[in-house]
Amino acid sequence: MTHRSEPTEIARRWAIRVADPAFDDWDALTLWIEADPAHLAAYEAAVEGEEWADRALRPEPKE
Amino acid sequence: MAVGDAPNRLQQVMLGERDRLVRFLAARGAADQAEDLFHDLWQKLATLPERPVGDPLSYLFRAAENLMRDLRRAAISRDRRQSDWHGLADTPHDRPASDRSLIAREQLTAIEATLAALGPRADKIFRRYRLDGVGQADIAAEWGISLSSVEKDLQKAYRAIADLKVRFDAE
Repeated sequence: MTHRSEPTEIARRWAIRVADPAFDDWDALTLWIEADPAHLAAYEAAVEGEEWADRALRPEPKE
Repeated sequence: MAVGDAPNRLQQVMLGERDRLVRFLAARGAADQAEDLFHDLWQKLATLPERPVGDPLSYLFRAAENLMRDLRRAAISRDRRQSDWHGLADTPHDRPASDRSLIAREQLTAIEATLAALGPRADKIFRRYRLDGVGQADIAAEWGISLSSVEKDLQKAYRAIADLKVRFDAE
């Protein structure tokens, strides 16, 4: 397996955890995002990935 | 809050946890607009009918997270429209609707193939999690597997989807 950049991998784990309806570790998420300027972008990219799949798998009528 | 309206239950929690929520909004991309967005959330909650919320603080963080996602999606489609106006490229959005639905179908086919390649369990678990909104603990119970097995399947699926998206974005 190729070596994956850490922030990308960790961001993906956060996105997965946040997607759980029972997620309540918001302060820890805040701290992680604050820890490095690259973290927010990595997290947003992870969220965009899951939303991309959602849109394709569950096409919703526009507006 | 309209003059004379008493803050509802969620708003009371919001006031008590103001610092944490503002800090989250700031970290989550709102930066120096965090106070304004806190106010927007406040207004939104004022218009919601009162209904019981399991964990009010978690509900508020979730609302803040969703607000940031909405804003980001709006900003992205704004950028996209702008680049369309400038006629910069033959982006998918310049293409006719029939083309766009063709691309959507291609993406769907590719995503389904990617998920199928992970094996039936990871495929089903990803859909259960994303599309049905079932939590990891419930999925683990449904399959009779450990929470960490569910996590690993989700990580596999997310990773594969991300790699696929990179390929589509590059086209």
